[in-house]
Amino acid sequence: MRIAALYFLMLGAVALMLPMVSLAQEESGYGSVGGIIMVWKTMVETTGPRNAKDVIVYLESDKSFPPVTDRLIQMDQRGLLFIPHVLAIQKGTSVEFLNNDSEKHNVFFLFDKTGETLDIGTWERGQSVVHTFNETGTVITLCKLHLEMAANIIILDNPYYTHAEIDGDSQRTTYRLDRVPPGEYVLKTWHKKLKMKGGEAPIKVEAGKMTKVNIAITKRQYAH
Amino acid sequence: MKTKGRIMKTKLNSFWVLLVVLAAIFFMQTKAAWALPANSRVYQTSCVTCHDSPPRLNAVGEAFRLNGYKFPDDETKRKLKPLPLGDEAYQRLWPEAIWPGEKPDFNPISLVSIWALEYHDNQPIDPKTGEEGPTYSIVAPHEIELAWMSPLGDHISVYGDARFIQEDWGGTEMDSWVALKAWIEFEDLFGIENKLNLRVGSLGMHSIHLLTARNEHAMGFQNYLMNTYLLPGLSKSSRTTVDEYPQSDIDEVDFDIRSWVGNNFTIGPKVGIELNGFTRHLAYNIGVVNGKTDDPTDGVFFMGSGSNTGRKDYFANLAIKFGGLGFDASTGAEEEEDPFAEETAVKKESGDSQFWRDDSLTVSFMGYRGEGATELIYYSNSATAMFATGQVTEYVKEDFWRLGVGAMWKFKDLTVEAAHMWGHHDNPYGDLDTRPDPSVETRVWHVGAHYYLYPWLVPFARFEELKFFDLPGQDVLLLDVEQDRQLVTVGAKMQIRPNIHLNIEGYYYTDTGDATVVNPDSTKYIGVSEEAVYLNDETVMMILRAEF
Repeated sequence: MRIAALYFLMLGAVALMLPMVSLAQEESGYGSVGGIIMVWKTMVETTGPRNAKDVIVYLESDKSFPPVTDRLIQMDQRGLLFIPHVLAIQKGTSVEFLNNDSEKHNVFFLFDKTGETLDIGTWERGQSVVHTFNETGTVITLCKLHLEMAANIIILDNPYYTHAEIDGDSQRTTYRLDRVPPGEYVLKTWHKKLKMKGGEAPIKVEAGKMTKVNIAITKRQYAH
Repeated sequence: MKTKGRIMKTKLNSFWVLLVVLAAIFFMQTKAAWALPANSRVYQTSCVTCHDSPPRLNAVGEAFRLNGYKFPDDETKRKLKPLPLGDEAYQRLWPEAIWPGEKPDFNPISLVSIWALEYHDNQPIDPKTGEEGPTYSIVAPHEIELAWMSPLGDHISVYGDARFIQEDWGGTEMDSWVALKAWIEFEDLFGIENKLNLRVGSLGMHSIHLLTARNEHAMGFQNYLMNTYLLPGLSKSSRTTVDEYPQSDIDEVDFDIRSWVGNNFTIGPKVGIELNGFTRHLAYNIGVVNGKTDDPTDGVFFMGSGSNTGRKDYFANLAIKFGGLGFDASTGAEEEEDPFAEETAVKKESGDSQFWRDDSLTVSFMGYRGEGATELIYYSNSATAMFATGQVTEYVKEDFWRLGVGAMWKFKDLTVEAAHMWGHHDNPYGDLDTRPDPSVETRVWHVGAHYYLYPWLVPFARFEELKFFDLPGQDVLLLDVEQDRQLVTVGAKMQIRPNIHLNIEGYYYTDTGDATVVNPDSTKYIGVSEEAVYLNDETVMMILRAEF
């Protein structure tokens, strides 16, 4: 009973805070984008080491952003897995690849856009290698020693992106992007296997307003 | 010089050898595959999702089979997920990486067991005296089958089964053997989805027959006559010396014909390679298989193996379906294009929800062209190889073909099917037949129906007729010219649980030709063909089948 009461208390607190967030955005001249993400005509695995629950929603605009210069994020190799196995970063971000397994691991990039590859090496437990990603696109990260190990690093031009996780039972989730400057954008998604129906959605963000865009992700043959 | 008694005994023994061998061949053809409960576990669904009356597939099951034992949008239905072998990205690194694959997360082995209770009203019950009478047999188990099938990723699927079969031939003799089948299929070749698949291994299951007259779909226990009939055979002791075959090339006198193997072609599993594919309305397969001269009849063997002619046979099948669920599982209805439309849409009533219904007409065609051979072995001056002063083996090749057309009409609870097949053999008796035109023609057809009285009770009936034309006859080979047969099968299939079925069915020959005169004291038995030998009487069978 106590736990349930605490849970509802917290929900109430969050509900009270939401208008404050919107109010803050309105005052500062930002808008937001949000909606439902739905898996359509297929299902994704949301449990287990090779799940496909991760969805990245991001905005593209005509404006180009300079690369970030002081950001370092870690990606571990542990239990024959890349952790995390989906990572969205802004261009210019450095990623430190660790090895916390007892065996050697390799890190091998396959650049999705160009098909080019880059082997940054193989190292022992406790060692690491840092790589900086300066170009946008998706980099499929593999370990040539263990064929099941794979991660995806999505390098984006600007900071307007969010990471959502599909719920296994409903095959849905919600997303929300806050503090987006007003303007015209193209909304896109990234998923390991599925494509956004329609490919992309042009949107207009207005200050103090929430732009609602529901997204269906589906298999390539249904995505047209 | 043989005495009359010795000849008689030889003939008697030969009769039983012939009976067992031919009946073995006949019964090896029974039901190439049953339902596979492993799929029930993978999808956590009942057998009736894919079978209207196991092992007969319904339209959903047919699409599942054609698609390499997986559903379209399989991930939405599969409950036991496969184990990935490598990440998909490795496929893009070709040729610098091994392509990824999948394997089942458990061993998808199915166990099927079959028990039979047989009644024959007129079987030889004493081979020594030739006495005949009714026989009752409990054959338990009649069959135990282990089957394994699974997709191995998106574009490869495999199938295998091992069937232990036991026959007691009406209580006179017990025989058992293990028949194996296995194939692997590579799908969607060159990225052409569904339309171009390559299968290698034991072909024939669901494949070489008319699509509307597949043994796997026969409602009764026995296979279709058109898929199992053989040309009338010769007993090896049908003649004792070459003198009695003056037309043979062999001039020496007093040679014993110790072995004669005719063209024993039947439509069933063969070893070879096949291309197949399907769309909503069409399904096809074309293939090349080993031409064979004999079948293994005991022990453990792959179906379709055995001595082969060194040459290849060719087959092609085409089926066209009008109405109902497509071969590709599409319904032909407009696809909903708005993913969020269902949020507000009023749910419409769906159509028939009966798992067996699929109002449709399917027309099928098949062709098979082969090169068989007859083999004749003579020993000189002796009945045994040890004392023979010489041995001559003659191989004579003979071309043959089959052409068939069939149709299956499903309307609500009724299914009606009919098929007709033409056959031709250039020279089925080799040098033993010296007529100017030694060719033999065959015609076989059937019509049948079954009706879903209740979901669990399906009465069925089938009439089949087989006719031979231009058989050599008494004057050339002492074959009885009249070898035609008419067979009526009546029965009911009861699905007493989703995975337990009981068949009660009877067989009655309305025309057995002269072949019904099975009298060891005469020479007539030499011409009888396989069903007539074994089923020249009225037979009732109860078959209980359970799947695990």
